[in-house]
Amino acid sequence: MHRILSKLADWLIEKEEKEAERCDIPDEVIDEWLDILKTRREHLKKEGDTDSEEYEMLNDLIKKVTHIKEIRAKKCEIKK
Amino acid sequence: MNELLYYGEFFVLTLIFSTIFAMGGVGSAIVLVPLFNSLGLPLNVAKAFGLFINSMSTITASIMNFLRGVLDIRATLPLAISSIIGAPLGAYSSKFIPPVYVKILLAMFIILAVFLMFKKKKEAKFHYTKQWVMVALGLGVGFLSGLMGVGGGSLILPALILLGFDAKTSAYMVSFVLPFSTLSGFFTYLTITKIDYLMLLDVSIAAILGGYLGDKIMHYRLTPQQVKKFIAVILILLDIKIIYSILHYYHLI
Repeated sequence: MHRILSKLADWLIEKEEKEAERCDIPDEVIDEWLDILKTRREHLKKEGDTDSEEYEMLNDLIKKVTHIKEIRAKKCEIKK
Repeated sequence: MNELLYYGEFFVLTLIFSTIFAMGGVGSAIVLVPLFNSLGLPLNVAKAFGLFINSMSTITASIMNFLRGVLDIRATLPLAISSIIGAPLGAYSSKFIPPVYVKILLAMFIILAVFLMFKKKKEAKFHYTKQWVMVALGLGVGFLSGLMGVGGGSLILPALILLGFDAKTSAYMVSFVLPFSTLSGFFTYLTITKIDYLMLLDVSIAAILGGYLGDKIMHYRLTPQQVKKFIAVILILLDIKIIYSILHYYHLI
C-alpha cells in the first residue's frame, strides 16, 4: 500500500516541483516542509519503526525536498 | 440556459469558498449553507450539500498532505475515530444540557485560542502527540460538536492550537479529521431530504478543485505566520457567528 502511495507521492512532488522551485516562494515554506518531514522521521526512529515503508517514504521525500531546496538556493542566488 | 446558469452559480460559489477555507484547513459549509439557502435551497438540503462539500474539499487536501509527507495519519487517526464516538453521545446529551451554555463557553474558548496563537513563541510549542491525548481530545470535541450541532473544525482547530500545535500542522490535522464527522452527518441528512444528485455532482467537483487549490496555496504560498493570521480570521468569523446565535437565543437581536 505504501509503495503505491509512494509512487503517487513521487508523481505529486514531480508535478509540483516547478512550483516549489519558484524564487517568489518564501524560504520559510520549504524549510517548514523539511522540518515537518524530519520531525516525523525522528519520531519513527524513536519508535523503532525504521524498517517500515512509511519511514522509507519519508526518507525519499526528505531527499526530494532537500533537492528542491538546493535548486532554489542556486537558481535564486543567480537571480539575486 | 437558466438551469445552466443556476448550476454554474453554485459551482463558482463552491469553488471560491472551498478554495479560501481550504487555505485554513477547514470546510466552507459555514458560509455556503446560508448562501445556498438564500439562493432557494431548502435549509436541510443546503446543510447536506454543505457537509458533503466540506468532506470533498478536506479529503482532497488530506490526500495531498499525506503524499507530501506533512500529514501524520497514525497520530491523527485516534483523534478522528474518537470524535465520531463522541458526537452521538453529545447529540444525546443535548436533551439534558442547553447548547446555548456550551456556545458561550465555545465563544470564550475561541477568543482564548486566537489570543494564544499570537502570544505563543515558536520555541514554546508542545508536542502532545500521545495517543491518549488525541483520543481524549477527539471524544471531547466530538461530544461538544454533537451537543451543539456544529462542525468539528471550529472546535478542533482552536483545541489543537491551545495544545501547542502550530497553525499549519493544526490545519493539516483538521482537514484529515473533518471528513469523518461531516460524511456521517451527510448520510444522516440523506435519509431525511431529497437531493438533486446532478447539483451534488456539480458542487462536489467544485469542492474537490477548491480543496486542491486552497491546499496548494497554503502549502506553497503561505508562510506559517500568514497561515496563522488567516486561521485567526476564520476563527474570529466563527466566533461572530456563535455570538450572534447566543444573542439571538436571548432575543437580544
